Amino acid sequence: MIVCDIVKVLEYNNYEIKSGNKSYHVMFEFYNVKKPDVGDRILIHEKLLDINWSGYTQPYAFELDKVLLPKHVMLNDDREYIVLGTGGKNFVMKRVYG
Amino acid sequence: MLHDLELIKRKYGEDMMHICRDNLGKILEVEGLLPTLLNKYFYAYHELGKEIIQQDKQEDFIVFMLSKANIKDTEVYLDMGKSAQQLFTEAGYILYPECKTEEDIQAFRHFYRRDDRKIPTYRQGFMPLLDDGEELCTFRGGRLETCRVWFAVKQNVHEIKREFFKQPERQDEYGTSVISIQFTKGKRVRLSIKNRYNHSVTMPDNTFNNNLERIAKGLTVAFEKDFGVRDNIKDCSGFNLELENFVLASDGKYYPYNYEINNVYYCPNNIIIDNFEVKRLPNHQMLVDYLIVDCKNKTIKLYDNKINENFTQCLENKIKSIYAEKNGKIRFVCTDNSEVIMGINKKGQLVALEANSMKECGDSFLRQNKYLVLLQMHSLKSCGQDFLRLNRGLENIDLFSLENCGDAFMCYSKDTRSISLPNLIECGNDFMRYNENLEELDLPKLKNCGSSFLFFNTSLKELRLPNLCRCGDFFIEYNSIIKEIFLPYLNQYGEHFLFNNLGLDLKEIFTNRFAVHHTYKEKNTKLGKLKSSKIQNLDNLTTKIK
Repeated sequence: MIVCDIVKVLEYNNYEIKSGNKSYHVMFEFYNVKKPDVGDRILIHEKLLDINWSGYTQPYAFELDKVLLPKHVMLNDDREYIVLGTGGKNFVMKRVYG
Repeated sequence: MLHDLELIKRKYGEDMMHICRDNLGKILEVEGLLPTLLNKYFYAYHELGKEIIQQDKQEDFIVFMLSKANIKDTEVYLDMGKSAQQLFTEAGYILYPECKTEEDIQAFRHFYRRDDRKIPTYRQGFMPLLDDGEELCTFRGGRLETCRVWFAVKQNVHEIKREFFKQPERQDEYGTSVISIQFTKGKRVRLSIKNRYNHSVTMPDNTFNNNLERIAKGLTVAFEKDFGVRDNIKDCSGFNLELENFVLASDGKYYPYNYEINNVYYCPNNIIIDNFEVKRLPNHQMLVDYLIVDCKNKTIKLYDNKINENFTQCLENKIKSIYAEKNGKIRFVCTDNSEVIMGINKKGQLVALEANSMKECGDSFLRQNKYLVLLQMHSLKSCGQDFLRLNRGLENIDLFSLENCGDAFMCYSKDTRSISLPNLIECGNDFMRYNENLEELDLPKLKNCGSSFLFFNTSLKELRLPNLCRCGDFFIEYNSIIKEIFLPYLNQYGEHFLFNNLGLDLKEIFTNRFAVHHTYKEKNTKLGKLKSSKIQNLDNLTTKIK
């Protein structure tokens, strides 16, 4: 899992996120939370950002699973969840399909 | 060759000249070719070479230039000379017209299994709740805002029953009997083919590997011809050069930019790129960050009125004269004879601001500004929310008179190492959140603060708030190296007080009345000293205190 900052919010749910000196363009859909803004953070599995991975299909859609992450490191290698840090809180988001 | 290198050096700088000389010898063999190519694909920016080196993109740049010098046509997909509808018919499907409304999309909902086995009905403005079955999240509504949507249904769909398929597989007859074909809107177009099983199989949004050719040969070209849409993600990752803080405009050139807001790019040298169209401001206007200073009409305005920005409102109808000085300063003389001075660097970025007569400002004061390093607003007493919210590197700050501030004050100023607000009494939520490098903080009069105060400040070792009475939730959450906290008057705090101070070096808290939250006990196991005249729940602490 890597921590990425949202550096741009573009139209049509396109986001540019950055981890270290690497940038990624991703499409997200978020359900049941307020749309994040520049400066918010996402904890995400690297595979979801790998354009050559066979499971790479965007937009990635996530719905709210839990409001607060009880422990900082909780998700082990999981491509089915991300953690969205926005509005001073952490939201565990579960991937949805379709 | 020498002449070409000289031209390149003059227009794009010495670094670029070296890159070209060392790596693009083949193109330099043709007199005039390389300067022509550079001129075709890059705006004349003297720092271009430096940017490429700093971003470690020399190799990408070289590949890009070589590809532009030797363009090869590659034909990947066949044109069968048939429409998309015909090709789908031959593959056993009915391709329905593109969904233009929510009703069009909902009309296909009944094909997807629901656990309650009901068939939902859709009325204008009323969306039936998504069931936990196999319904696509497309049916939640809103997909048409970001994607173009089609459905294709097998001609014998009524013979393919869900109950016959006990062990679903993505590519089996049921899973592919109803497919939703969706192309994202915008510059980067991605295709996703959604499976009828949805999440009952793995990678359901990747049916047929998101390759229309696997449904029928020629479908990719047919879709492009019939509907003007094609997945270009591979094109984007190929020879499309990606440079940070550069935008590819519709004239085919890469331009450096200072800001991108609402898909409008604000560039050095008075250039704005709106909807990828290059616009140059007239001579009597100056572009500073995303603000337009108009010397002729004596105004400072926004190009895009959708931006939340209070700075222009503070000066509205108050400017008597504007002086642009050679040392990069712009001086505004106001109708009350007060002055506001902006300091600009060579890229047109606002790096300094003196506004010592300003006493208050509203929400979103220089909200988007990133590059301000010096700020002098000595008389400012109050500010609204999002004050310099996105600024990254404010170093010299004079806010001597500031008494209260709204939410998200200097939220992401990562390079600010020290700040003194000697008169601040009250602050809103998210005060200096994510100020990772803040080492010194002086708030001698602070009485009340909102939630997420100093959230994720990982450099503060000591915090003295001699007058703090009340704080909100998540007070100093995730501060991993803080060792000493002085809160003699704190008597009210929210949830997750000092939560996750995992550095576990927190040795001393001095507070007048301290009630321990159960999570505090779990996370602060190395607490050495707690000084307090009134402590509740002492039992939780006795084993920890040395």
